[in-house]
Amino acid sequence: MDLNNVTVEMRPRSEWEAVDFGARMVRRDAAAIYRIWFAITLPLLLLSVAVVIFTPYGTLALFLYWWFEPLADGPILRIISRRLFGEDADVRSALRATPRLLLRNLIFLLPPYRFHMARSTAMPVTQLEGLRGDARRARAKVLNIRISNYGMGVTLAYHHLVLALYLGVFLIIFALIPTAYQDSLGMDWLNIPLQSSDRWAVLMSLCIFYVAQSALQPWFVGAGFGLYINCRTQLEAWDIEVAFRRLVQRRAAGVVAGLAIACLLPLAMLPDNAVAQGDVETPMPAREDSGFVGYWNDDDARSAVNAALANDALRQYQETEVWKPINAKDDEVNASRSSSNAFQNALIGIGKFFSYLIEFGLWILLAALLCLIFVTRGRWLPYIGFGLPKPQKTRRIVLSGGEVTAESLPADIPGEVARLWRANQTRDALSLLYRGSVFRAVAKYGVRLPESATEGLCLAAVTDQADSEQSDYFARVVKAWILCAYGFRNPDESTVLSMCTEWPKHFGGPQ
Amino acid sequence: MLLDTTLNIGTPEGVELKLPAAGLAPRSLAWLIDALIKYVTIFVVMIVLSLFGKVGGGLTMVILFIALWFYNVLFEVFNNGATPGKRALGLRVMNTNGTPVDWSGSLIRNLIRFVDVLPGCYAFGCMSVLLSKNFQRLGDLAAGTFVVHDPGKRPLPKPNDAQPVPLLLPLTLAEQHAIVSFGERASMLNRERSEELAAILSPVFADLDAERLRGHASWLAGSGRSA
Repeated sequence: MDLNNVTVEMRPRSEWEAVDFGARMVRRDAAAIYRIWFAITLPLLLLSVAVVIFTPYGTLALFLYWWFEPLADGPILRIISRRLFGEDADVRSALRATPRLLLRNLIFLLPPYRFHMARSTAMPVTQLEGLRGDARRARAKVLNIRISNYGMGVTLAYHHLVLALYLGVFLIIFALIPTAYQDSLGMDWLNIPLQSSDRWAVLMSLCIFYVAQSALQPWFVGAGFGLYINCRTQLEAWDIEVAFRRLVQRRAAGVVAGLAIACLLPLAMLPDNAVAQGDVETPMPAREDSGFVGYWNDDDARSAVNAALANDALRQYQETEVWKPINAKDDEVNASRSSSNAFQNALIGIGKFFSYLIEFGLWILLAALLCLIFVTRGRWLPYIGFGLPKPQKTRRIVLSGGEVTAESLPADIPGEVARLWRANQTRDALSLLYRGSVFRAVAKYGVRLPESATEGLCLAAVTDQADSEQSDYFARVVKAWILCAYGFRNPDESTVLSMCTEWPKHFGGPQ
Repeated sequence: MLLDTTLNIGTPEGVELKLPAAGLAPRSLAWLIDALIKYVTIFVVMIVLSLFGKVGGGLTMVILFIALWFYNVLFEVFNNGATPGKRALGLRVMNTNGTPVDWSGSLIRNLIRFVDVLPGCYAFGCMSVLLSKNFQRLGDLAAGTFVVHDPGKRPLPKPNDAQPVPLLLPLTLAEQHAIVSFGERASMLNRERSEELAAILSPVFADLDAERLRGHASWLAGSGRSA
C-alpha cells in the first residue's frame, strides 16, 4: 500500500457516497474485473449445467451455483484494491493469487457466514488486512460498528436488483415471442421463474440468473470496498496523509527547480542570449511551484495566453445538416403532372379557395380584435394607469438597517451624535451620523435611492448631485461609518467632533 | 485526473461546485421507501373510498392517477427535489447544470420513468444507472437531471483549541486545507497515527510534532491573529 500513487480522489465521504464511489472504481477497471469474473464463474456455471444435464438433481445445481458464487469476490476485490493504489493487477497475476484468496475467503462459504448480511463489507477486512482468529474478529468489530448497517443496505439493494434483472431478462424474451405463440409457449416461458422444475427450465433459470448476477456482482463487491476504504479514510485520515505527501514532494521538486535556476542564470546572461531563447522554460514552473504565483511580466503572460489560445481544444467546429427547398419550378411541374385529371384540379381549386379564406380570415379576425380593443379603450385605459390621479410620490429611504424616517431621527442630529460619542456608544453615534446625512441629503438634493441601497450607492448618488465641498463632507461621513461598521475601527474623537460641528453648514440646523 | 463521483460545475464567478452524483444502491433503496409509502396510501384510500359506491370508485381512479403519475413530480418540485424516500437516503434531484429541478425537468424524467421500468421491473433503468456517466437513468438523461447526495447540515467539527503557532512557509490552498483539516480531526485519530502524519512533514518543517502541527493548523484557520 503506497498512498503516493493513489489513483482516486481521497476525501472523507458520506457512507452512501462511498458506496457509489466503489461502483465508480469497478466501472473504471471493468475490463480486468470482468475477465477474472468470467474466468472463475464460467467453470462453476458449466459444472452446474453439467449437474443439471447428467444427474436428476436439477434444483441442487442451482443451489450449488448459488452457494459457491462468493468465490469470485476475493479476486475481484484484489484487483480493485490493487488498482486503487496504482498497482497494475493484470489478470494472470490475479489468477495466480486466486487459490490463496479462495482459501482465505473459505470462511464465507461456511454456513453461518454464507448468510452474512453484510458480506461485501466484511470481506475486505478478512482478505486485505490478513488477520486471523481473534485479531480478525476484533478488527472487524471496530469497522463493522461503522459500516455494517450500510453493508446490509447494499446487500438488500443487490438482491432486489438481481431479482429485477433476472425477471427483466425473462420479460424481454417474452416480448420477443411472436403473438401467435404467446398463448402456449409464452405461458410456459413465464412459468419458469415461478414454479417449473423441468430440466430445460432449470437450465434456463440458471443461465439467466448468471446473466443478471454478472451485471451486478462486481458492483456489489465494489460497493462494499468503497465503504471499507471510506471508513479507513475517516479513521486514519488517509486524505490528509496524501495531501501531506504531495506537499513534501512539491517542496522537494521546488528545491531542485530552484537549484536549476541558480545554475542556469549565468548562462542566460550570455551576450548572444542563445541559451535563454532555447528550451529553458524552467523559471516559470519553478515560480509556480514555490507558491509564489503573480510575478509574471506582461510579455511572459501574453505569450502564455497566446500559446493557450492556439490550442485546438479551445476551438469549436460544428457540422450541421439543414433542409433546403429544392428548385420551386421543379415542384410545380411535378404537381401539375401528377394532378392531370380535371376532378383533382377542381379539388385543388376548392382547397386553394379555403386556404385563402382562412389566411385572410385570420387577418380579418386580427383586425376586428384590434378594433375592439381600440373602441373599448374607455373601459380598460384606467386600469393600466391612464386617466387616474397619479399617486403621490413619497421618497422612502430604506437602508439595510430598516426604513429611515423623520421620526426615527432626533431633531438635533449633530448634538445627539456628539452625546452618543462621549457616552462611548461610538457605533450608534456613527450610524446616526450616517443615517442623518443620507436622510438630509435626500431631502436637500432630491436624490433617488434604490431600496436597501449600500453605502457606496448612497455616496455615488449624492456625489452626482451635490457640489464638491458637500460631497467631500458626505464621503468622509460614509468612510467613517464603513470603517466602524465593517472594519471595527473608530476614527479619532477630533474627526468625529469636527464632523459634528461642520454638519449644520452642510445640512442646516435642527429640524 | 483522479477518480471521483462528482459532477463539477464551474460558475462565472470562478467557483467550482462539486456535486456528488448518487448511484444505484441509495437510489433503489429510496425507490423502495417511496413505493411503500405510495402503495400503502393507495391501499388505505381505496378501502375507505370503496364504502362510497360508484362515486368512491371514480374518486379512486382519480387519486390513483395522481398518485402514480404525480407523486414524484409534486414532491420533486415542491420539496427541494426530494421525495420522502430520497430525503430518507439524503438524496435530491438536480439539473445537470446545478440548478434546482423545475416542472419541465421533473415531468420529463418521471414520464420517461415508464421507459426505465421496461421490461417490467426497472431493468433498463438499472442498466442505465450502472453505465451512464453520472449514474443517470434514461429519464434523467432525457430531462438533463441527475440525483445528488445532499446529506443536509453536517455537524461542525470540534474547533481546534491548540495554541496558534505562526507558519511562515508559502503553501497552496489545498495544502492549507489539509493542515487545517488535520487540526480539526486530530482529536479523532489515535496518538500514534497523528504523530505518524506529522512525521510525514518533517522533511519540510523543522522539529515538528503533532501538537505543533495542530498549532499551525489553528494559526492557518485564523485564530490568534489580531484584528
